[in-house]
Amino acid sequence: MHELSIATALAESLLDYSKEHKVKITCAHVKAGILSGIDPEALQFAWEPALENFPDSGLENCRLAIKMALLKHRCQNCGKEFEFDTWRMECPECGKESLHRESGNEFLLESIEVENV
Amino acid sequence: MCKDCGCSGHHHEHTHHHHDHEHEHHHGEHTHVRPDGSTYTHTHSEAETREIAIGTAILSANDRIAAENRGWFRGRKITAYNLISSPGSGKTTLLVKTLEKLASDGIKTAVIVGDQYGDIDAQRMKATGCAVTQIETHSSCHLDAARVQSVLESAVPEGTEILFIENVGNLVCPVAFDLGENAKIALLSTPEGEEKPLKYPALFAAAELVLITKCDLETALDWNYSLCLKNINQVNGNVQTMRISTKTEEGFNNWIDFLKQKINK
Repeated sequence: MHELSIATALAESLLDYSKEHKVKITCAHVKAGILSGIDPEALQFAWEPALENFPDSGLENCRLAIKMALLKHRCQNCGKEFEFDTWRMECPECGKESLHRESGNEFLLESIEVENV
Repeated sequence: MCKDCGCSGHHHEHTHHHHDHEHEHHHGEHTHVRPDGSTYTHTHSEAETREIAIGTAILSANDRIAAENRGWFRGRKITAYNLISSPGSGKTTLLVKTLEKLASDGIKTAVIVGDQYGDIDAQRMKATGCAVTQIETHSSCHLDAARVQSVLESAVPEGTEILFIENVGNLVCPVAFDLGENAKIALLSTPEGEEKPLKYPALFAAAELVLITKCDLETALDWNYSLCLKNINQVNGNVQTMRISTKTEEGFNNWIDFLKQKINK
């Protein structure tokens, strides 16, 4: 259940941002690769308890929107690029087992929704 | 998007960071300077919501400390490994034997070991005479870069050539936390089955080396080596794999050679 540590780290960085830029953050959009080891349900579940560590911070009602990113693959034989929801080796184009996975470990804060304070 | 001036939220942030125009952003009345030098004053409404692009790694705070650890290792010519596996796959047993072997070859090692509670693992490894430091993570299921950094000075003696960081036994959580290691090494023991790389792909995708441990049990378990390799390669086509048994010493020389070749001279 490392999602609680991750949710807390995310809340800390949001808090720093909101203080520095004097805004209220109402939603955080995050993107996780399928191979990042992030379970979106567990992270969503951990979000509210994580926010409880930061009372009166303005983050209390901040929503968390999690998007799982597809895996980018490139064929080392024919050079074509593909996106799949799982890892694959066989190229749908040339049929060779030459697909190289080029993403999947990413875990990013993509954007935030803010209001003035 | 600001409905008044048409600035996107992103543009606000951009201009704010680069100070290329006067803009008391977000706070009531404020003034923009147009490219032609003329000014424009207006007020944002209070409840306006806008979206700001960020694009930073969520664990960037951990990653920063991991980068410091990496620099610390590099400065001392230490090769550091982050050993990750399920509980019971044989990390500590492997390390005890590895530390003894490396010590007999005159190679100086240190170990940092993470467990939720106790120092049983550390005691086992200390018997080899190696510098071993236990971190108790308590409720946490993984080591992070800051925990490792906090013990580096005391845990890693002068002249150490290889540092093994034995992570908390867990196939999932430790993967997300870079510790500053040169490489992650995954252990997969034969009793865990051939399909673990497909069920828990994150570790196998991130590892540079997968050690298939307890190979002496292969026959008793009807364990299928080629199926296991195929599964590992499905999630990571570039990973190196090694069969190993601390009991029969199968593959042990390969493992020691791997470690010796990577020493930072």
